[in-house]
Amino acid sequence: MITTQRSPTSGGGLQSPRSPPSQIPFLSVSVTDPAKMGNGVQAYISYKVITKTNFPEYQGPEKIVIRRYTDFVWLRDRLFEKYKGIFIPPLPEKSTVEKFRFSAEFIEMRRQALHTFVNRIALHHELQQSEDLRTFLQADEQTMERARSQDTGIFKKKPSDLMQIFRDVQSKVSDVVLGKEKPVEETNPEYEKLKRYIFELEDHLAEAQKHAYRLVKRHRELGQSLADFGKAIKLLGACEGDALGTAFSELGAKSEMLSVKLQREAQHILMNFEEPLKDYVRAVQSIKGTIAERANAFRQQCELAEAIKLKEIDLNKLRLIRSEKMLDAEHELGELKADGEEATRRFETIVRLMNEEIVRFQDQKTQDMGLAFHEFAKGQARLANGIADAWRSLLPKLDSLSVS
Amino acid sequence: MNGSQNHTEESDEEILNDHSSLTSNFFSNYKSAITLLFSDDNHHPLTTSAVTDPLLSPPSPPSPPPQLKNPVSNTDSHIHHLNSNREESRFIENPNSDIDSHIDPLTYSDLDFTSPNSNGEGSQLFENPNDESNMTESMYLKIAVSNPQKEVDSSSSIVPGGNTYVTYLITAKTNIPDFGGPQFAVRRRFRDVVTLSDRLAEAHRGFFIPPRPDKSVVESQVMQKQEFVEQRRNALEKYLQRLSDHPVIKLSDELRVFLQIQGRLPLLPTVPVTSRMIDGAAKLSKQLLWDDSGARFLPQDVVQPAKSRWDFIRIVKEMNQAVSNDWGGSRPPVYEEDGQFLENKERLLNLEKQLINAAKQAELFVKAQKDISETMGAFGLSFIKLTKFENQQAVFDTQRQRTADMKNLATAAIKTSRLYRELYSRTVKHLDTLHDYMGLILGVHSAFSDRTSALLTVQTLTSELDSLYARVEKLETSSSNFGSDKPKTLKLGETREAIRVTEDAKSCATKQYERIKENNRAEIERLDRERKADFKNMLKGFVISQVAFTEKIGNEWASVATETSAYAKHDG
Repeated sequence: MITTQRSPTSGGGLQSPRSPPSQIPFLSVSVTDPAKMGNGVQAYISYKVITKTNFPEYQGPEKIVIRRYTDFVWLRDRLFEKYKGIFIPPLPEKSTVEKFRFSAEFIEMRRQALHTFVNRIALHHELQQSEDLRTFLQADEQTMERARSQDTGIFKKKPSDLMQIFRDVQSKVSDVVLGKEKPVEETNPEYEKLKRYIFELEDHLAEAQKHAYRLVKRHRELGQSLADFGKAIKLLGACEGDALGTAFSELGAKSEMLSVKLQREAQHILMNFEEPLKDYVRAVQSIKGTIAERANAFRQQCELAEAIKLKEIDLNKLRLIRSEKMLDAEHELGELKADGEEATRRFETIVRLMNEEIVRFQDQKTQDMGLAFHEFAKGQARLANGIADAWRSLLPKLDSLSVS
Repeated sequence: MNGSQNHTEESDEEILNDHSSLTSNFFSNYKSAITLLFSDDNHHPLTTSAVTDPLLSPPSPPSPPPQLKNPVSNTDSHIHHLNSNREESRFIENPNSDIDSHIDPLTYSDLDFTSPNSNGEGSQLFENPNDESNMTESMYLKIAVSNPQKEVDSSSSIVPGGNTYVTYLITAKTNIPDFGGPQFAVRRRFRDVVTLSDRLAEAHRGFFIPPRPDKSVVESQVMQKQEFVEQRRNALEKYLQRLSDHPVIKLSDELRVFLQIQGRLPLLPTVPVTSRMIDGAAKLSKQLLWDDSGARFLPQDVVQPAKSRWDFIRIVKEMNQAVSNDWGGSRPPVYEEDGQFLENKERLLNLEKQLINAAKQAELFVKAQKDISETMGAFGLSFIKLTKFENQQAVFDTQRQRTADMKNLATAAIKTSRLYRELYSRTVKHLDTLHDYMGLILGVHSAFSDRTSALLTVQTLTSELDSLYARVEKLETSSSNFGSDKPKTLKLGETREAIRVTEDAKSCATKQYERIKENNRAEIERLDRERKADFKNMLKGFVISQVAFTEKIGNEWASVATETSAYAKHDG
């Protein structure tokens, strides 16, 4: 199971092989060492991608390459194209705010997310076989760049584009090709339920994640205000002098100390809870992409089925009048039938894969969230107890003030 | 954390809705927060004031034995059991919530602390051990201001159709014998308060009298009239209570008259400027001209500070005197005590500065506590919704497992939110001491300037005397070169008479000055003593609250952490 938070900045693979290396096949990747490259508008961050494996298809036991964000995007898009039906692991978003792009926090969060991304692929029994993955993990930078620029054409259909298609499909009452008022959607009630579930889930998750992020901010704010308060209290204590003054300054000191704890907890929540939650949201969005693919495949299947029907009618007509076009028509029908079978096969593969994926997904999310909740609770307990202890330590001194 | 899911969720949302109804825009000022906190439910005038400051609350009237001087447990309007219940937990009054039943009573033993002398503030101005001073200590006067009403000033001749103004109902509860009764109520307008304030300032020179609320009338476009009236009501209440807490002023006639006499306030109103100037000028010109034509002025008149009478000629004289003092003119005799006084003055001014800063930071800190409470609550609620949703749609068992985990998290978050909320309100109460002293210390300025102007008067009179004596000498030594003795004798007589009068005035002024000095000294001492006691209680109360609540919060999360610990093992 991939854990989002166990990613120290300086590398360290996740899947340490437990048994003698060459026995059990493993593929472990780490994304580390973000470095700023280039200047000005052209500047970007590059990452070191370290692969350790015993897969025979790979060039060797270890390989290190340098990759940038767009390379990861390329990989995701290729996988999305090739492995329809499988929930492709999500990528962190592009940064919309310019000035944030190079902040340490953003870079670290992105690195972690990319790390998780690649590892999920590496652990997926089908995706890990991908040739594109091999290219990504091993090719030198020029090859990588070439591959990247080649694919700005056909394969550049991003999930978001597909989402648009999906929406169009949903909203189109009449299909242009068929020229009939036929909804091109599956009527599978279970699947309907799943679709609704996914869409609503995204909304709920997004809201929870929003509040989680706000909570991070609140911790920071509380920390800051406590630090300022501590300073002010110390100054006030200086006016008082004697035992009371000392009490004040100790209180001030504790405040400042607790402020640090609060900042740390804020960071902990961000990395170990809010980010996994965001990852969950992204995963759900990725599933929406797969849903769109399935709808596409279904539509194609339907279109072809319809076309075959029409062709058969045509053919029968031609047979009756013994036209010389009959042979061509037979030939075309054959082709259409082959296409139809292919389309059906593709669709059914997607359905099958999706069913498997959804089970995996639910299991994985329970684990991911369980861990995130655990980390959150641990952090909160640690913080609260730390605060209680700190204040409690002041009480003996405050008690002794009574005598005066 | 059982019971039906719906039941719990309802109460969670109820609690949280309760929450959000308090989130209105004027919460940004935590002082208003206090008002809201206490006027939250039924705003009963006397209970409001009675629960404002536990430290100054009277020792429990005769019976109930264990006197809880516990600021953390008794002052919240939600608490029913004032005396018996040491638990901080029964503060949330919601019968529907079964979450509340899971909030355990505090384990922290020292929650209920009592300060060594049962009154804490030890408000003694006069340090005699006899009964009288104890009586002063135990005398209380509680004020509540409420029920603002618009009234029309029918006697106003300036504006046709009359002036409207607001009156407030001022209720007083007391055991001071002079009042002759336990409870009174009068209606007063703000102008009356200004009058009271002026009269008090005149009669109690040298005391640290809390300054009254500003006169400033805010444009109705800037602030809703209602909001303004509410702010003013609150400010008046605080001001009057502060006056009532002052050991000398609470016994003053001016205050009693203000609180007791129905109808028009029988205190001399503050006279408009122009007439005062004219008055002053007229009186002073008589002084200058030794006009014998009947008007005699009392030495006491002289010792009123010039400023308040706008005796501009006198002001000029005194200004000259002040200048000549600075320029090394005649050294007034009292400078040797100044060292101590100046030291104290500087110390108090510095204290004022730090108090203002600390109060500001406290305000921000307190707001941050409130914010985190709200966000934690919204956070918890969003997970409750998620839980509900996932449960409805669950197809797999693993989903149900996840929702169980989520529910634990959400519940803990909501509990935490409420705990933070309560901690916030207690912190507000404790740290309000800072605000109180910030207000009190402003009274120092007027007390010190009373002293300065009294000293100035003495010095002015002294140098007057000097010049009068010089005159006498000159008259006596001037030979009878000019004609008849008669005018000279007359002049001499007049001058000697003036000397006599001025000597009297000076002696009066000196007495006044000495009295003010003594008042200053006693007040400084009282301020220091009370402040130390109050600050100590503030710190203690603040710390205890923090400990109590964060302990509880820690426990909540510790159990969630334990319940989810299985996931940690799955790691790797």
